[in-house]
Amino acid sequence: MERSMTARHSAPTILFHWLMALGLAANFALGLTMADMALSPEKLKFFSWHKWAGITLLGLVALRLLWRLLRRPPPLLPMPAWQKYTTEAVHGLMYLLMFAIPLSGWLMSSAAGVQVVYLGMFPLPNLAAKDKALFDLLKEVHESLNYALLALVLAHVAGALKHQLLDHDATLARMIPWMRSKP
Amino acid sequence: MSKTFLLALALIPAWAQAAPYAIGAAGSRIGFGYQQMGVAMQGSFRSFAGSVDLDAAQPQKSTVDISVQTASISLGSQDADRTAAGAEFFDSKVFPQARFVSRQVQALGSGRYRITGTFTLKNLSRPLTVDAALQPQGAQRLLTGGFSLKRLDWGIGTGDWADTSTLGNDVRVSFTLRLVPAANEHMR
Repeated sequence: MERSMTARHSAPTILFHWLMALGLAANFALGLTMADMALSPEKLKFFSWHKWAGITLLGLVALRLLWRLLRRPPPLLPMPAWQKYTTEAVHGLMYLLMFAIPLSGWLMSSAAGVQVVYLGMFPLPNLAAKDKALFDLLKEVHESLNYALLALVLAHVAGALKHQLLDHDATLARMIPWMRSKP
Repeated sequence: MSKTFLLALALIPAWAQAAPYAIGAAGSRIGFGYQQMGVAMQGSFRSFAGSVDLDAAQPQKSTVDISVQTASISLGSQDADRTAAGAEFFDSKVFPQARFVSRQVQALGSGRYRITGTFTLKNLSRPLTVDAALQPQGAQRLLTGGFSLKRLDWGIGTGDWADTSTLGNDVRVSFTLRLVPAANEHMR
């Protein structure tokens, strides 16, 4: 019992977590930046990089989920039931959005009539036919899903900090390789 | 008129007459393909007009004259259309039309033609050869074909847009023109 309480997440789990945290933050910032740019070669590059990063993150989250199913994470540390439910709901919704956001972006590009060519070399299938109304709708959906994920990430970070600073438990430490868990 | 002349007139088959044909707006398309960040893109021009008089029996009497309104470009977004009509691309305010004129047509047989003429785009006029196929469609005709060009040869995309790794240099223009007998222009 004692061991499982303080058990760290596995190395791949930790790697997936921080790689995706970094990738999602960077691609979110890139998305916001490029959306407001005037049309230029730089904007076209940013759009392509944003799509390539999004497809990479879609691949990563698929591998991450597969890893999670193969190797279940250690159980949550003791906490009130409502906190467990909330934590699991936030995690579940974040996984859902990590799939839904790149897929909505891919759909959006298809509806715009611009095929996604991964890294400029590998053409991916169009998920929808060119359709202006569908594109306008997907643009709103893609944006809304991103703000929903941002809200969930803020709740996720707030939860981690609460465990670290108020509960003084090992929740945060077991996701950070160099951090010692509190006794 | 003498009876002999009327008889001779009646004997000339309709198809042998070098009758002028105008481009019908409906059913005609002038489009182009290009590469943007490795992605195959399509565009078109919404507004164009002209006449195409091809005569297999007398190719030397054939004429082609087509004008395209450069501001009518359609690339899939208003932003892109505005940029394409702007000074760095077609500069449509200064050069509203692109024009192809030919009086040199070679019949290649089985409805195929090699049309050599002068293409004028922005402030440049240069020779251009276009291969096209002509198919009769009742009283009308359908002309299909295309040609390739390098956009930078014509000053399309200057400044930052001259970067061909972002926006490819090769452009493939293709067209389908529904030709209507000029006397029946109400059919357009």
